[in-house]
Amino acid sequence: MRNVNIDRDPMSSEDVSSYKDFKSILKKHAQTTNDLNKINSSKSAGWYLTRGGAVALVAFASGLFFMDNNKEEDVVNAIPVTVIEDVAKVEDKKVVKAKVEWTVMLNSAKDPIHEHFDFDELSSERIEYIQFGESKSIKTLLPTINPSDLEYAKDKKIFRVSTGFSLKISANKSLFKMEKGNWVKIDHHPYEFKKLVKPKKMEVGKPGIRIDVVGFGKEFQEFENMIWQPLQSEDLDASFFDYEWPDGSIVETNTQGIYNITLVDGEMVKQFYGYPVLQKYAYKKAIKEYTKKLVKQQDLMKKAPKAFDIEKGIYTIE
Amino acid sequence: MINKEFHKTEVQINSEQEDIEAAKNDTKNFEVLYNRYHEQIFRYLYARVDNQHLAADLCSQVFYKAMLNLENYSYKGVPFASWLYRIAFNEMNMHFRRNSKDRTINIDSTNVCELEEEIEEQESEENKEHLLKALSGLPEDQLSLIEMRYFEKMSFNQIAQIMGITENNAKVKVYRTLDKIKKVFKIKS
Repeated sequence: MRNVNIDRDPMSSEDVSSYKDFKSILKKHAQTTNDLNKINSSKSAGWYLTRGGAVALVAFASGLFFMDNNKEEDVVNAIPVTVIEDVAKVEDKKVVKAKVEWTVMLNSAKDPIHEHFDFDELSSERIEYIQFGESKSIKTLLPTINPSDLEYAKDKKIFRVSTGFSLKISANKSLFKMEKGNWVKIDHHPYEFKKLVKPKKMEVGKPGIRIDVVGFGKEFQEFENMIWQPLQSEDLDASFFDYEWPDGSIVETNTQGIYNITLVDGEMVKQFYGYPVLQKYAYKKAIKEYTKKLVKQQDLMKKAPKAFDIEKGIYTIE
Repeated sequence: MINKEFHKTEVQINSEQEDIEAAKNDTKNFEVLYNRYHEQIFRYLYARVDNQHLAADLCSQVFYKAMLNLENYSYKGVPFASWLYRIAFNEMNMHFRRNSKDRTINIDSTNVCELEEEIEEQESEENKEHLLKALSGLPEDQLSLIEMRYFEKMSFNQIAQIMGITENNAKVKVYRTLDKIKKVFKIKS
C-alpha cells in the first residue's frame, strides 16, 4: 500500500525553478564522457571482457539500446540474418564467439515447416526463426524488448516475418507480436458459423400473423408454423387480415432478432417491425433443436483452428 | 486539457529539431531544451513522490540520461517531450523498484470525483476511501496509467508514447485497470 496525499499544497514555478542545476548535469556528463573515452582509447574490449569489465560494459550498452526511440519496424529492418555475434566465456578462460542469428527454414513436402512449429497451416515457403536460451542473446536480436517481456521469450520459438502471410494455429494456442518491446496478443479471424435464429415463444394476448416463409431466407425454414408478432401490438391491426398477401419481404434490422416485415398484395403494401415466434408445442420442439445445434457450433468453435493474416514483424506462439 | 508540448506545429517541430541538432553538436546547447522541459518533467516526477529534493534528484538524472543518449534520438513521430517523459517514466520505475516506500499518490479532490464517476460510483466519503485504497493497491504500471489518464489528462497517444506501447494497447490497459478498480471497489464495499 502506498502513501496518499489529497490536495497537497501546489508548488509555484519559482519553487520548481529553484531546483534547476544545469551545470551539475553538464559536469556529470563531461565526467562520464571522459571515462568512456579513456576506456575506449587505452584498453581493448577484450581486456575488459577477460577481467570482469564485461558486465558493466554490457549493462551500459543495453541501457542505451533501451533508451533508443527506434520503432519496431526499424528494428526488424536492422537485423541482419547472419552477422550479429555474441560473446561468451568458456571453462578454459578463452573468449569464444557464439553466433546469435535468425535461422532460415524452407518448406518442403518431406519436411514441412508447420511440423517444426505450433502451426496447423502456413502460406509461406520459408520462415526465419530463433529459439533463445538466455536473456543476453534475446537482447542482442531484440534490443528494445522490455525486461518483463524478455523472460517470456526464453525457450520459445520466435519467428520473423518480412512479407505478410497467413497461418492457422490450433484453438488452444495464441499468437503474440512484438510491438515496441512488448508481446501483444493478436486477434484472430473468428470462426464463422451458420446463423441460428433463436426461437421465441408466442406472447399470449398479442396479435400474430402466420407467414409462409418459403423464399424468405434459409434461417427461417428450419421452423415450421412460424408466426410473426409485432413490437407494438397496435402495429398489426385488423386490416392486415383482410388480404391474402401473396408477396412480401422479411429483412433483419440493425437490432438483432428484429425484422422489418413488408406484405404486398397488388398495390396494397403494409409493413410492421416484429419478430418470429412459435406456439407452445412447435416452440418446445424448435428450442430443443436450436439448443442442440448451438452446442454443436460452440463445440466446433472451441476446436476450430485460429486463422491469422500476419504482417511484417516478430512473433511467437504460446 | 491539451498539453502543448505534445501538440506542436510543423514549424515548432522543425525549430525544436534545430535545437536538438545543436545540442548534439555541443552539449552546452542542451540548456535550451533543459530550460524548456525542466518544469514539466519535475512536476511529472513530483506528482509521484512526497519529497521535492527526491523529485529534483530524479529530474536531474532524467536530463543527464537524455543528454547521454541524445545521439540516439531522431524525430520519427515521437515528440522530444514524449521521449523525455519516457526516460522519466523508466527512471522513476527503477527508483521505486529499489525504494518502494518513496512512492506516493498525489491526488486532487476533483480528480477523485471524476474517477468515481468513471467507475460509476456515487460521491461519498466512504466511496472516496475505498477508491483511494483500491488505487494504492494497484501494481505500478496500472497506477501510472490511471495517473496519466485521469489525473494528468493525457491522451491515449501520449500515454502510449511514454510507456512505449501502442495506442490501442494503452486503451485496453486503462480499461482493464478501471475494471480491476471496480472489482476491488465492490469487494471492499
